[in-house]
Amino acid sequence: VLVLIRSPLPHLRSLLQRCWGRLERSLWPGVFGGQSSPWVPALAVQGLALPQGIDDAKAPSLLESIVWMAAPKQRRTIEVNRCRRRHPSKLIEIKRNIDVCPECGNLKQKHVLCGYCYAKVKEETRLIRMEIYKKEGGPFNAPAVETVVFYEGEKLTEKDEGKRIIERARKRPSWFVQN
Amino acid sequence: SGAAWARGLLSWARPERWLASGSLFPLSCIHTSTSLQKIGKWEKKNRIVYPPQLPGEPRRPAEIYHCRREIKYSKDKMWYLAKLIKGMSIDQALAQLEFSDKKGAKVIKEVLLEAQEMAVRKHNVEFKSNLHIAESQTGRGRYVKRVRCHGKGMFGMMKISRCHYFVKLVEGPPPPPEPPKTGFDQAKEYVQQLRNRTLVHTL
Repeated sequence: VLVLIRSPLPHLRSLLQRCWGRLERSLWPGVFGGQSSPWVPALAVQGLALPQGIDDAKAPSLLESIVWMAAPKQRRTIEVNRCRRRHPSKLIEIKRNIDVCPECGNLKQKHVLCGYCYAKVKEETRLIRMEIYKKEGGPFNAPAVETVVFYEGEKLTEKDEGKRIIERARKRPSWFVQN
Repeated sequence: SGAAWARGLLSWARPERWLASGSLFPLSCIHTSTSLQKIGKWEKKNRIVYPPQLPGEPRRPAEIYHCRREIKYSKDKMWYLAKLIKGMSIDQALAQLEFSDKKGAKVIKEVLLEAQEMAVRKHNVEFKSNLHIAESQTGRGRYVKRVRCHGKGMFGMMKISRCHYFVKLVEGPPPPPEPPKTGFDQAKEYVQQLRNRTLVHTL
């Protein structure tokens, strides 16, 4: 004789599942997408610039900026430093535009006046200007005529009639050409 | 004791101690040069005296060592000028330094002119243009730390640097510059290195 015994387990299992589901829904309301529980605010505000937030944000931004600044990782060795410092582009180039001045024999650059000759002329000009200052006696006394410089043993000519004469007590220098 | 005192006095009053040989002026027992300052090694190099040369030997070229100490300039910046004039004849070096814009160029030019004059006067060099620069080096002088004021009351420590400059002039024309190393020479060297390999610690 076959006896079918119906186990009460499936009934128990379904009852347990229903109870568990109700429990879960009550504890975690948002998971199942059901109605939100009363303690969550209705309005979700994001990105509001609060005054407290700025002060809090200052310290972390400084720290972050320190983190992102460039800094050397390793000390540069003397070999690497020498390669950079002694590279041909950093060495001084030798100048090939130096010549000899035909007048005095000193060295001069091709595109520049000879330093010695320039100094010589400058000194003579300074002495002539001192003579002019002695003759004028003060500022703003320059006459409205041309000036001629006479050295020792030179006399007036027809061309130098109406001009102001400055006397210099020395021989005419060879480079100061007389008209 | 009286006789001993008189003898002591006479021994002190020895005339040969007073006068240097061959002169009428009395010797001074005071050190006229400051012996407390150390004389540098470069300055001492001028004092070496070679033994006389044998008749068949080629003439030894004259070497003149000169230096200037505690120049108010940086040794790294001075090194560029020293590198410029290395191996040049003295006239070419003076020309280059005259038209250089650097502060150290003026100093090095003075040093070279001094050395040239020393060579002609003391070191028996015939022609002052017949010199070339064999060595020219810079050295670190004494550094001094000072306060450098920044804004807002901040300060940093700066160091005031000084340098030395050393030069060695040798009589004769400057040596020809070395030809640059070609790839062929480098290849030959490499092949020679390979050929020089041997087996070690074997029969």
